Amino acid sequence: MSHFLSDEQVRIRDVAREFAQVEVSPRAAEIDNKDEFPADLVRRAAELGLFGLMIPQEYGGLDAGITTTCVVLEEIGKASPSLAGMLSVQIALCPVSMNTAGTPEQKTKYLVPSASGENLMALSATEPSGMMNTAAHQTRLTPDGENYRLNGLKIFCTQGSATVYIVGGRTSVDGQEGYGAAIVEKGMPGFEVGKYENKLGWRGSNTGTLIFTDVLIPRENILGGILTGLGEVSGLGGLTGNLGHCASALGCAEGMLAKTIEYAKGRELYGQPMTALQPITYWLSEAWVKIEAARSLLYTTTRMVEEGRIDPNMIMACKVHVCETAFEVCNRLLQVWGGHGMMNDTGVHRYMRDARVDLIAEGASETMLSGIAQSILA
Amino acid sequence: MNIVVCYKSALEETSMLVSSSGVDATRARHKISDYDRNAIAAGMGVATETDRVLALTFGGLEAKKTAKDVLSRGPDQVYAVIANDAASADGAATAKVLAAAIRSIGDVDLVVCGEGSSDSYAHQVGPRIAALLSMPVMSELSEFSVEGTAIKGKRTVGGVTEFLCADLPAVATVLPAAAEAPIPGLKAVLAAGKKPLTEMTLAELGLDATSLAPKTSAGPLTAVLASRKRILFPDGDASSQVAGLVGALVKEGVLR
Repeated sequence: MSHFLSDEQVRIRDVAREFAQVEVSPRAAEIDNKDEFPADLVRRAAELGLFGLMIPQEYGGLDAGITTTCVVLEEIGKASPSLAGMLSVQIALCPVSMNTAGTPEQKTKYLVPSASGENLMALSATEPSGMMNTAAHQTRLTPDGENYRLNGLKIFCTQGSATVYIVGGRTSVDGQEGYGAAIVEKGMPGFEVGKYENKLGWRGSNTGTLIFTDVLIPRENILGGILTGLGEVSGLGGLTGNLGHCASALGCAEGMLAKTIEYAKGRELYGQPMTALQPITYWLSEAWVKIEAARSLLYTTTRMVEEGRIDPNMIMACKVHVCETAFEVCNRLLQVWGGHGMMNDTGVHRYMRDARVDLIAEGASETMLSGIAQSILA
Repeated sequence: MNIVVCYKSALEETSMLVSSSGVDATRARHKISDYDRNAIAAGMGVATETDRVLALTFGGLEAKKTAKDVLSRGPDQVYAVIANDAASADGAATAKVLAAAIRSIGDVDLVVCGEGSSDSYAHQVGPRIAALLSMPVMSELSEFSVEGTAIKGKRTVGGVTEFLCADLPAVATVLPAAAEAPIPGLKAVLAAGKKPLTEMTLAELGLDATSLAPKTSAGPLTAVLASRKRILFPDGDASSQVAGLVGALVKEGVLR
């Protein structure tokens, strides 16, 4: 992969790699075990400028592009897929949604402090009825004079401890069904965050329930205007967010492979190194091949996006293939560890658990496949 | 004030291939020598807004590969003296080249070096530069500061702490404790691409290849490989097995 990166991208990767190895890796198991939001590491990521990777320079960001962003998230994913997942929301999803649909005033107000690390952002689309079927969503934006009132419930919001949330809700436009996205700030009267979920993977990410009770949403906090018909809130950010998510999953698989190779080299079975056992070498090699193939698909797609060739099918294919590969690799490699892999002390089963989350978060594999099917069968 | 920080592009240990036949560094990557990262941070730490911090290195073409990394850590400019056979240079030759470069840069008030490079750790270059430039040198500093026209430093040797002072211009060689080397932020990484890198040749410094003739030589690298002793203590009760284990560990020097 480094053959295709510019010198600048290599240096940015090296910064992310050093951050991951020196600061994230020693804390990764603890984040998973304690299920605590790693505020210190998130703050450090902001200090290093990672929050601004996808934010235009005029709003204080680096405008570094989705390839560079994915390279960074991949490095962090090797150490802590959970942290990489959180940062993907902050870096690749939310600011792109805001930048694509937001007014200049909204961008100045929300992107500038996001780039500097003052804002932690979240985008919440899932309701008890599901994410994609917005027709079944119960959260509503109701006109109130010049403004709106937001009522409803969102669940499974990654980064429930954010300071700014993009929240979708159904509404009506001249008697017709409509959809809008509200920018909700922490502390707005009527907005509260419910309990944080105790999850299988991505632990520490403060996945929370958002409760809206008659929250006054000023008109200027409607993102991108009210849409006629049912829609969704993420826009282009949903696509770049998926790619960031894939990068974190790819890093997860790479992290698991690196740890497993180290373990296999040092472990003796039947009086010989484990790496002298042919099935073990096959598993390791197959994992490497699958990771490289997934990487090739991911970065081909990020380049297409940067060239303006945005093909949702390719992005959905990435989401399916890279994330499924990451889980497959982590699950298979866990077998190399035998009983040791089941123990908390070795800390490797978190890779498998984090990779499992990737098959569902930000659009399940089947949702992606349905989207592709609609396109190729049309 | 002009501050020159000397650094070395050293081999990255993790990218070397280690086997029983030795160490293969032919495909090894280069990095800023570990202690030189601290030296750069130390130089930046004593610089005021009006000071110029210049980084200086000597090496083969690989020396340029780390220049952007150096610049992302704060220095305003990199000077790189490039010579094809730089790899054969020992501390004396390296110091000769760097001292000549410092004279060429001119008007240098403070030279900061890492205490040693992460690949050879010979502690040679900083003191030799000081001798060649007739500057005072303060070595093994765990703290240092510039106060007016003097440099003050702290050195701890064998449980004794010394507080040193010297007039500028001077050379300081620093330990990692002198300044933590932070990870550069991405804005600094991008800004580094716009900072100047000035290449110098031996000829421009009035030197030639004979200047690099080493006065010391090193044999081939050998690697320390961990190997299992495969010593078992199957006989006797637990206490005699433990006694056998402890005895073996003492014999190997693991326990005393």
